[in-house]
Amino acid sequence: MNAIELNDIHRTFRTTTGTIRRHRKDVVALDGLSLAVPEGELFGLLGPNGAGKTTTIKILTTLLIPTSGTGTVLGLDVVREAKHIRKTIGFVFGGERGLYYRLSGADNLRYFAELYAVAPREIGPRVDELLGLVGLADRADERVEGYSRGMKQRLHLARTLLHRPRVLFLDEPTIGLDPIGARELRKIVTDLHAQGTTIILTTHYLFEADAMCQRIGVIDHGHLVALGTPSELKANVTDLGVVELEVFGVDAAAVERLRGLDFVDSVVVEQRDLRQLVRVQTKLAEQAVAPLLAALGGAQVGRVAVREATLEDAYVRLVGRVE
Amino acid sequence: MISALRVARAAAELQFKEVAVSGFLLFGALVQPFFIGVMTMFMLRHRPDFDPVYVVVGAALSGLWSVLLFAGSSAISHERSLGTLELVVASPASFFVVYGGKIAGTLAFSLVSVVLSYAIGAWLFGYPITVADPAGFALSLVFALVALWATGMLFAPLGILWRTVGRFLGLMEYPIYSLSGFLFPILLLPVWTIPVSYALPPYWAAVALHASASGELDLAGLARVWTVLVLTAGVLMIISSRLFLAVLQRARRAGSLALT
Amino acid sequence: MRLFFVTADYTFRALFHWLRPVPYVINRLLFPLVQLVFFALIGQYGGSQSLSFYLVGNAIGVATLSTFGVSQAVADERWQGTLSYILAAPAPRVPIFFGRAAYHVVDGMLNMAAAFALAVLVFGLRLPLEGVAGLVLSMLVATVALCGVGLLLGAVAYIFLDAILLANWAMFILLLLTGMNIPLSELPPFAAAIGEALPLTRSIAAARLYAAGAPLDAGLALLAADLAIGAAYAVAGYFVFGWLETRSRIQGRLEGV
Repeated sequence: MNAIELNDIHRTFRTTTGTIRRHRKDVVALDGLSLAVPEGELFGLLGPNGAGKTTTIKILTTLLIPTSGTGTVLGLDVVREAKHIRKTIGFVFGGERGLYYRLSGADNLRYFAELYAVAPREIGPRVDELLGLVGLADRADERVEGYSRGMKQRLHLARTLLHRPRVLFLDEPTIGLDPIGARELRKIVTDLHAQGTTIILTTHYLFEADAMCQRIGVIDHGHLVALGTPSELKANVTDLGVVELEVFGVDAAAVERLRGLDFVDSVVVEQRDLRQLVRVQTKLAEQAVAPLLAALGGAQVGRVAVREATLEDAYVRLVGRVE
Repeated sequence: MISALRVARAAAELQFKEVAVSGFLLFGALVQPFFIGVMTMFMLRHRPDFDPVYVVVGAALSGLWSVLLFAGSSAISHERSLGTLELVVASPASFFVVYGGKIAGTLAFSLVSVVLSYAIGAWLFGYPITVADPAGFALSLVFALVALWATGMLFAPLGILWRTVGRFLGLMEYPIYSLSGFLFPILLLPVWTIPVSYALPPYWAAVALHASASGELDLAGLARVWTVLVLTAGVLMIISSRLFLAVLQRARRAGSLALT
Repeated sequence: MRLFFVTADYTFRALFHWLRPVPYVINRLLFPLVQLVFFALIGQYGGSQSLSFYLVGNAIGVATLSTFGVSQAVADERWQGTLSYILAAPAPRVPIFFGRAAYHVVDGMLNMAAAFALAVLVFGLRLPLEGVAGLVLSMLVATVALCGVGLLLGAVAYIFLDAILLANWAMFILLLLTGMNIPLSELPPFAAAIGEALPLTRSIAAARLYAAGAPLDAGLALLAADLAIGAAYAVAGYFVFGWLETRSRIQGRLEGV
């Protein structure tokens, strides 16, 4: 059975703008998305901001009804059988919100355990077990308002595991965590996967997706633009090399000149403090360096590196930008 | 059924803890009834048939209603601003049950108004505060709370549908105090408002409590009022449960559960 | 002087920007009226004073919303973080604050006019023609004097960080102790003494005189005294602001959060 199945999902939002004269505007979030994830898979959902990832997750977690199309989770319809789906899934949207800050971490978990109908005798041990798992056992009785962002994120993860869900939706679970905390969380996720939980993960950290996910789907503008294993996606860019130029003060005209070169596939400029990192995807690799430097004109260039394409470059090629 | 009660109890406990530390709601439960109670005592005590218990009951009701109004209507928006509304809706627990528990917790907290009003009459003014029919009064209080609870259940669907409902609900204190006859008989109001009063559960709650406190109604009379309270509560429950389903569907369609 | 009008206009426009007409009508006009109806009816039921006593008292008492308005204005400035900019500006403070208060005075007058209209049309209150001038004067003095309380509250709200709660307390204290519904003579001595030290008390007394047909000079002394009391509160508020500002410059915290 597929853990999740989406068939031609469309979702449009109607927004109003203006205070005196109100205008109605339709925003298309999902434009014919179809996707299937088998049970037991660790699936990554990637895409730029506004691509439709969160909308997809909200539909799958029964918080949102699609405008058209059908979706199922573990064979249950997301619209009509929402109540049954809710018993078997867990999700973390994360962030600072979503917790009762006047209650302690343990009390938050106990409350949600009641909402998820965890058997009364099991609540105490389960809460303790999960607090231990996410490393919050010694801070469990403190009020959540005193928790750091990372601690809140870990508490969210504990909350979502109370009822032993079969499918887990994690929306950017490591964001805001320090590197050690992030690594620990990733380990928890992979352990859960090893135990048979289906996991749908969204992330902006492509190295994370590369390392953890069995398959990746890339969403842009409301539909899938790529689907496959990390290797398959990277195969799309094996022909590509990447030249990274650290530049001080490159202007738009120079970037356009770079883009105009016929051996250049794409150019992405990332601002890093006072420098810009110009990433050029090109089939030429080392041979491209000289003409690229020439095209940059008078801009001051620091480091130059030539490397193979990674998953991130495949992603950039698909969506045309870095977020 | 048992699990529904457990969910309701957990929600009630959470809500009680939340409202008990809210300065705003403590004001509505204690300070406002204090001023209204004291003022009304002064204003009514020259009446030949003055009964201080009438003021105590009325002031308590005003506190009950104000807390119910504000805490009940803001319970949803409060959860929304915490970011927990989505989580609660997406849990297998029935949102109707969760909210029912919250309203119950709110009412439990608001009972502090009863204590305060008693204190005003008995200690501040030094009147003997006794009810003519203690058993009748106790039952009246139970039925009144049930009816008020059912009324509070209507606030939630409104709160999900219209996010700025709080601004308009703020007006519903004095009109309800007046139309429900908390502190003066509704006969003083224009005749055409009487049907409106009859449609309000707080009105019947006030009738039952005033009448059992003063001994004005015998058991048969009280039983008739209790029947009205229970029937009203039943009708409101049915309406609000239907509304809940409709409203949640609407929110899922529009995607408005997460917006603050 | 120009600063005065400019500020009043800005206040009006800034508030109107996020207030649409419907909420304005509901919050500013309807709310004071339902309160008036409530207490007037209790008063009628109690019968210890004439209905006119309660109607005039509560109609003038509607001015307590000005208190709300001014302290809310101060709180909003702080909340929007603009207060430090205003205090840092070289312009003199007094015209600025009175400019803001002007809006609330007009607002208060409108509220009271609506309240009297209700009293006359619905409750049948009879107002003698010769008393109208005095009534209007009482209304003006009441609002202006209460703005002083509002300023003090706004300043105190810095310390306690909750302008709305403070304003609510103030409203109810004024309701109880200024003779709106209970003659001061009926209150215990300490309460009556507090009432005498509050603005609004004498405006209400003057208004009741005018509503009974007294000539204009009958209430002038009362009104002048009320104005003076209001001014005293305003001055106190001004000094509290000054003290807070000095303290915050030492502590490095102006916004109070």
